Amino acid sequence: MIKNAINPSLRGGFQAFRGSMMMRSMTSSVGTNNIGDIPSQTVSTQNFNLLKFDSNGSKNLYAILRIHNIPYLVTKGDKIILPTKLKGVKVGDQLDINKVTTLGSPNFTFNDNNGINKDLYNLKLNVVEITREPYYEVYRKKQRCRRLKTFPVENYQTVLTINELSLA
Amino acid sequence: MMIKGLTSIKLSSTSTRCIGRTFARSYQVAQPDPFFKTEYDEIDNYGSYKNTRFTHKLPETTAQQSPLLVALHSRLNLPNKYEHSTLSQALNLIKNEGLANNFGLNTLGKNLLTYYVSEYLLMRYPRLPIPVFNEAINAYMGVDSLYEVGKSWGIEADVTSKLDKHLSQENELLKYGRLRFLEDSEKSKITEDGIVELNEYESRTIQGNKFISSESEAYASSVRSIIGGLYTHCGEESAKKFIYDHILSRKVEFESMFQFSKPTRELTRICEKLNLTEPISVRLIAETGRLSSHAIYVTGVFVGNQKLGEGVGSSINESKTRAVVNSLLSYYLYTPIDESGNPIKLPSDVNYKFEGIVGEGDVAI
Amino acid sequence: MPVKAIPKVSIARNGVGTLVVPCNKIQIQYCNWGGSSQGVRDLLTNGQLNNFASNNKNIFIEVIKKSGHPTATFHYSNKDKVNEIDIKNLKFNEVLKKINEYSQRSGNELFKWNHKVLSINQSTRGIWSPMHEAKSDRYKI
Repeated sequence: MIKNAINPSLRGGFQAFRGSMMMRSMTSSVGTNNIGDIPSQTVSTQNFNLLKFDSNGSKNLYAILRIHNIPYLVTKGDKIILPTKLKGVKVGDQLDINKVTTLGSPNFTFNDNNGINKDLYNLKLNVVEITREPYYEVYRKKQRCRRLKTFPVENYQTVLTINELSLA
Repeated sequence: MMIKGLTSIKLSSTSTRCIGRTFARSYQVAQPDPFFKTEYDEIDNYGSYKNTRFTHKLPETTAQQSPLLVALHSRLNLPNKYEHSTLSQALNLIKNEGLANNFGLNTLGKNLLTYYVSEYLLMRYPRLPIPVFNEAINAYMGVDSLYEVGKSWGIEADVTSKLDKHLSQENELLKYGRLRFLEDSEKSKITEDGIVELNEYESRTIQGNKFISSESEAYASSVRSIIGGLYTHCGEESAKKFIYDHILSRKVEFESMFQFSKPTRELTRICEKLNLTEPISVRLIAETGRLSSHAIYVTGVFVGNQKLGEGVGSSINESKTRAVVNSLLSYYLYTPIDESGNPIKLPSDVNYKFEGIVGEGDVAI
Repeated sequence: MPVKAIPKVSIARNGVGTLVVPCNKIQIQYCNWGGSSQGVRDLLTNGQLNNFASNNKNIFIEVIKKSGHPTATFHYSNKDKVNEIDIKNLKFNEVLKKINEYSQRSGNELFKWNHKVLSINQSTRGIWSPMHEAKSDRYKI
């Protein structure tokens, strides 16, 4: 439904984070030293497995996906609230997002700004609700007119949930 | 030989009573319901048990005309093989109106649920302590959650009496798509706002100042029965998928289900049990400074070079306790993965092979 | 007893695993005589409502004949919410539009979420903490 060009070539790279491997911690580390950019066309399975193990079987995993080129950072079960009505979509539809730029676990990130190859992850979105934002009014004053113009605003909202997010 | 067996069983149950004093039984004893008129050849020949009470099932053609049933069937995305009359049976808890009720489907559904929920928990969280494990089972398939599930499926309760239905000229078929658990006499009871009169079942379930209302139990039982019905019509695979989709997809926050009384001692015991030779040390990692207006301390729990957990607090003691609790949680909430990094297979999956992950049991402190 | 358990009830996440559409019942009330019900009467006679019903089998549609302005009442399984709207003086296609729109809602109060994602999960990375910088990079108070 949401069309974005996928670049078939993959330029993946792991950014190792400085945090030590911990069993559980509430901290994050922000260092972004690029340890090994992988220039080849394929992803090294060894490195991808690193992400898989660190995410504990996709339990601690997030993805950054793009809808209308706006990034959304999601985990499984999250709701994305879009301030629009998606065209040609109704409640109960399942969406297949084809532009995911980042997959991340607590210590590793896999990133490709052109979109990660779809074979590497499973991501499914459900359209849960098409509703509106609360009603409000906007007043506009036009030149050379004494009166305020009132515009009623009640924008559409689309709610999507992340049905499935895991590494293949 | 045919024995009308109920009387003999009744006798044995009354014999537990002493003269002058009744002992409250603290455990469940299965008793046949005299209503079903169960008959059997030998008491231990379970295959010969038969309910001889005549009940009839709603004809499928009638059930298909009930709009509520059709809507529910389609809302739950049930396969075509699932009969509407079974769905109607799953919603019927009343015994004595001649229609088949959900007693058997409920039992079947409950067993299926218990199996899949406990399998999921045991394999995904093999180190959960028993009390938390039991509460987790309850969180997934207790009456409260199943009541919510039933409500979210849009099941309507049948609360109007026969007379009201007659007066409002309601289509008779609608009744078969509603959850029927109240007898007619109970429906016309006068209720006062803010006052609840408990019936016999409800007063048995009182714990503290909570009780299980017969409405929520009825909803839960209908949910279980629908699962049982799915198993009978479409087999185990689709029943399993249904349970994973509707019950196990709900979120349970395991982190907030633990209440530790002596966390440090417990952690020491666990380390002893795991044969960690090096001593545990709880050390300060960072602080904002003792004289800062809102001091923050970061503490870690270490065994040798390995950090087990980390905690942040506004006093040293607080951060220490948090660190210990976090490391305990990370131990208890461990999830095994296989060598390729995927979650391990469950015994009910195809091509399951034992991967040697068994919980090590609780520690005593 | 080493650990005590705190009872919890699991939290519903409609749309994870499977989606049960929250709108389960629509009651359409119209008058057989009044002019404000003309649109609803057209809708009933031209078969569009039948179309809607057969496309949305999960919704139970009840048509009630009663004098007065026509209304549509939407019942949601989400906390037993009921939403009654006015459909007087609307053309049949406008009524259908209303029915389509309200049947796709969840019954929750309308609200504006000023962020993009609504989550009940713990964040994967946790919040950033200045205390975990290397000691040399830390800000000195």
